[in-house]
Amino acid sequence: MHEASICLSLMKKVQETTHHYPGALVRHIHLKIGPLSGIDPHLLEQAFRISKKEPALEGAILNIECTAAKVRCLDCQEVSEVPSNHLCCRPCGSTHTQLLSGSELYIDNIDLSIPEETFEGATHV
Amino acid sequence: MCDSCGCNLTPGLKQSMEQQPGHKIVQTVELLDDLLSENNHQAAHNREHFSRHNTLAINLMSAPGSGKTSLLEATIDALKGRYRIAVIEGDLETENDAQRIRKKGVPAYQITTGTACHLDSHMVHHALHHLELDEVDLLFIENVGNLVCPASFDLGQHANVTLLSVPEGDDKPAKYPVMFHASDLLLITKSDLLPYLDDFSPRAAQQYFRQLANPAPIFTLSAKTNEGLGDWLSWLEEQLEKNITKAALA
Repeated sequence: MHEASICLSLMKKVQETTHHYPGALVRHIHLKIGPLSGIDPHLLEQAFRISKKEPALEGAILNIECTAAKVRCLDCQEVSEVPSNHLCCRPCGSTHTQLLSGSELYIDNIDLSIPEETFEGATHV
Repeated sequence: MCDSCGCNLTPGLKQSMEQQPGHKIVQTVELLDDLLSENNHQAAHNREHFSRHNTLAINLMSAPGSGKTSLLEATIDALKGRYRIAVIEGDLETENDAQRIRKKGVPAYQITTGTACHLDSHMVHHALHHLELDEVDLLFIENVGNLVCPASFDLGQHANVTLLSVPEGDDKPAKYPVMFHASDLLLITKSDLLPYLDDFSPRAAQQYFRQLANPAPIFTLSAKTNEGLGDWLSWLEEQLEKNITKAALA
């Protein structure tokens, strides 16, 4: 289950960000994950639930947007949404395609709630 | 959209804001940060390290038992006099594979991952401290036998080689698309078993692989009989030539 090591990396990145916002609580973490990233969103959610022990993360909700695999055909130039194990052009069947999306694995943004009194000290990341 | 007045609040965020007494200011912080960036950064460092030493690094990936170590033994037998070879072995436990490689007179460093299901670039970097890369033309990294996890982790290799052995079945590329999509070369191994396992069709395996829009070459071979080994060796020599040319240009 390599989602555990991805989860550690996620926690580290979130902690690096909250470090700039003293007293902040993480409300939502928005991720984008594609089917060709090799990461199972449900397993990542489970790993996150087990890992988020510290107070700043305890109430955080992982919000995962699962992107679709899309290819551009290098023969007919059409763009089509395809299953991750069949990356051929949907209209013409060509195997000469370029992957446009589907391998995403990144944090889009995080929502923090910040104590009003410390807000003045917050720095932008 | 500003970060302070609340105009960027999603409905869920507004709700959670209300539920948290004392925490009234809510801010969305854009990160757009790759979750594998740390691994990728180390992988890039490893790749530079290989380039500095003119070492070609090949990452071998497959299911357990598909014949990665046997392929390496046959490859070492064929190339040992001409190229200086080293191997990094990845397994959950045991030094067995590294011992097999050392018996062939080639340096091998065994990474035992414990419970980790894949190698990552940090483990490989650590292993590199145990090898004299100045004395290595060709470094094989034999990844942990697993068709899922290793595909997501760049190690700094120059090429990914995936093995698909005849007993596994010809539809593995359709079942594990991430791994086969990332392959620079597909080797159908244990071809000596084809007469006994007639439900494996190399043609079907090729079709499943091509459906991933992967134009990489496909060779069929047996490390036991050496049948088809020549194509693999020629491919390796071609990569070694390219690596030497690239180093000369640099």
